[in-house]
Amino acid sequence: MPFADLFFGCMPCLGTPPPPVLKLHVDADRDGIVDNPYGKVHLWTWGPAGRGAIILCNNDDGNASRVIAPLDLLSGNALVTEIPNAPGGLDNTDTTIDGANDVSDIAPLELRRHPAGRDFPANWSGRLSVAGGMHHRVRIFDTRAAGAPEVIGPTLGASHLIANLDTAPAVLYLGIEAIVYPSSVFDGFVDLTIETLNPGHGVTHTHVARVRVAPWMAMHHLNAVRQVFVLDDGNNFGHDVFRNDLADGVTAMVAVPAPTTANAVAYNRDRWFRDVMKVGFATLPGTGAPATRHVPAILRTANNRQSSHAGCLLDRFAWRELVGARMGYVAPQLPFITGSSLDSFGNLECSPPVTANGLNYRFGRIIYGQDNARAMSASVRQFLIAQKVQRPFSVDTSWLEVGHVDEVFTFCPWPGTPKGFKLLIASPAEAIQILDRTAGPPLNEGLAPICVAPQADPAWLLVAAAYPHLTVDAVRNDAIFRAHQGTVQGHIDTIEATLVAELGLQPADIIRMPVLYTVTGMAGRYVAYLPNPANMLVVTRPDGCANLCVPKPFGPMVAGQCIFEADITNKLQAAYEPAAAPVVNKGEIHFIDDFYTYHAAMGEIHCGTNEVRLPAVDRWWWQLDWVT
Amino acid sequence: MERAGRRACCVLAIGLVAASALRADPNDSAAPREPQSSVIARENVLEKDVSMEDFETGFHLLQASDAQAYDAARARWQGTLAASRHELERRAVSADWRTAINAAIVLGRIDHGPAYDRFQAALAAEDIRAAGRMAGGLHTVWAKYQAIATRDLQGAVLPLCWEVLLKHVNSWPDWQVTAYLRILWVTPDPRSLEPLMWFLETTANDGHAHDAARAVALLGRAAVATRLAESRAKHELARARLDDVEAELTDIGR
Repeated sequence: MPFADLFFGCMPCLGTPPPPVLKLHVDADRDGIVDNPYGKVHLWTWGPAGRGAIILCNNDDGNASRVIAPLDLLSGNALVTEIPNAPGGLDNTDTTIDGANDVSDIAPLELRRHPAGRDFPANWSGRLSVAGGMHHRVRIFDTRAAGAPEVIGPTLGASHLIANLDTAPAVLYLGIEAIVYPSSVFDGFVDLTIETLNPGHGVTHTHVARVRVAPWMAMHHLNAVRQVFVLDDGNNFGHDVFRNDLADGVTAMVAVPAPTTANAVAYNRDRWFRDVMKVGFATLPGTGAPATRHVPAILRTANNRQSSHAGCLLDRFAWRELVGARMGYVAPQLPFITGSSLDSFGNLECSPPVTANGLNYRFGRIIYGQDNARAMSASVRQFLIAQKVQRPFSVDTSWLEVGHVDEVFTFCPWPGTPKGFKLLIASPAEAIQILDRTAGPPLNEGLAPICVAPQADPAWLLVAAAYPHLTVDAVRNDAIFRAHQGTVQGHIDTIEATLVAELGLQPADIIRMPVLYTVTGMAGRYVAYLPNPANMLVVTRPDGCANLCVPKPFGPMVAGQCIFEADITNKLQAAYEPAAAPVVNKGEIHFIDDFYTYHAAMGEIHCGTNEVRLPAVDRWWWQLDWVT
Repeated sequence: MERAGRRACCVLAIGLVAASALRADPNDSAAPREPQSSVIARENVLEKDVSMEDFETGFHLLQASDAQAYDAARARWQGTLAASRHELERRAVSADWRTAINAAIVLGRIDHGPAYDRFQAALAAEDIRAAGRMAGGLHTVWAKYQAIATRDLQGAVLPLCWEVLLKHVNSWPDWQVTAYLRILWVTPDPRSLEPLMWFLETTANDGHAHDAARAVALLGRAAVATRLAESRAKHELARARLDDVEAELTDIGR
């Protein structure tokens, strides 16, 4: 008899078969089908041979019922899933299965009588329950079909009585969803208990099954891109030209459709798409095509950008325009806050899969920038940590004016290498070396100009004071400016050392991009002086290559060529070709002018875009063998 | 006295309308007098030829007012109060936090008024629309004024921050209030605890509340644990009483 079977019942009379009992049947072997065996379902284990049922945080909007308030009402706080008394919004905020779209988000759960075919005596009943307040974290429906009502959950409570088992079907087909993801106060495990009740003797049998809520996971740059987003800022500072160039980079080699645009008026010209959301996903075992087992879900920034960015509203975009069937939404920080710059998701990155310190991170690792004086929301950090499978770590970005990790590094696919990617990291030391080589013999190009094209734009008058170094020698001869590059390189070396240690990188996995930084503001922090090529959009293609949409660095021009562009192209040439000379089965480099559209406002292409990717279908989070 | 002081806080917390009424009533002092204060103050006042009645009136009006009424009261009475510095200094260490903080604000204004005005004028002149267009948003502005405050004013900035919390929250733009809350992050001082707790319990602005919570946390657990426990107990008691009302309503409606 399985450990989970605790038999308290009355002894049957000799010659009379004992009454049946109720058992919980779940998909413990994670193949999308409820199992016939019911033994040891109270256990839940990780790993390729692990067992235990899984449920999904059903936070998409299968029936498009969420309330979309006018933006000027700014009532976003009331629209979020975790507020129990905001029913009828996302699928996990109401008491029914929200239509046919919603059924696949509901895990199956069956109550079967054992032995099958034996009848219950009259008036016997069953009691299904969850303990420890878990009815606020899961909801059980009385069938697994559209319109099925809640029987256990925040509205009806922690237990459900199934009366008159003698007339009930032999198998009761239920459904179960999670209302929330794992968190710092919820490890994701929920124990379901079914009791068989004899009206004369109380509980005759108890059976327990353990389920776990699927974690939210971030996507990484080896995941192919499905959709790109950018604000349509009309022709402000040449934004139309930028969008056209971006579309070229995104669609090249038929990568993905042209970027989806957000309306500038609606969102008050908030152009920082990266900062408002991080698209991730959660996975439930299923019988359909592997890709259908993933449900994307948007992690919303903690920031209320109306406060933090003077009326900007793009943080509302995801709720208003992206959430829907098979696109969920989670906001760990409630209510939204003015937060800090580090709460923007340019400061949240996920590495490709790595093996480090003996652990195989098959979904990569989450990386965020840390600054004790302006830390990312504790609620968001704790949420990320609680998901466990991408084991977050931080790097020191306190020295950056904006403070985001994307100002320093990115990851680009590199097919044919052991890891399948390279770390591209900004390097002022590399930039200075290139400038020194340019000024020295045999080139002797110390007067080579910098920022040539931006100076031709009338907007230069607005920004010229921020760019006093306009030749190679102007940089080389400014001892203070050079000293700043050394300081910044020291900070970046620290970040690189952390990345090497936490991601198990080797020197050959790292490519250094020439970037100069300049000191800003009262706080003595730094920001990229020239457009920062490391702050790029990586448009990963289905073939595993990528189109790199790289901020055009506007470095020194020698013989009609930008020597920073040439350096980058040369370093990437093993896997990437210039956009002008595309090669099948290789990636492309698209240098795109973002000088006035983003760089002059302390961001770059990566900051101004966002994307949905397609998670891998050859791996599943429950197969990780190191998670505890 | 402690209880009376808290009662005064609660009165102010109920609403500005009620506070306005309070201001008009000189008998309802939000700053209860202490037994020896009149004697000490009178000695000082006599030296400066300022009546104690004037001092009490001025101090009361400054303490009980906010927004434009506070600005007007300060313009009218600060000179009067300045003539009794000793009394202000005595009140600045009062056990009643509201008395102490208001006295400290007046002292701060007397000692650093022009610097405060320059600081505030510079902050108010920031082009926040332009800053909001930058990747870092207003965080860059707030970081700048944290740096200026710690460099130029250091601990002297505290009374200005307290003044903003107690007097200007409802009349200044939210982003400016945020700036002062964040200055408190970089100038942690136990004296900020009570104004911050009062602010936390009364503000309707989620962003401000979060910033105030962080400012409290940055004071350190040892400095705030007792006060937090007190406040938690008070609110749990209030909640229990509200539940009681709800139960009565249910019973009556049955």
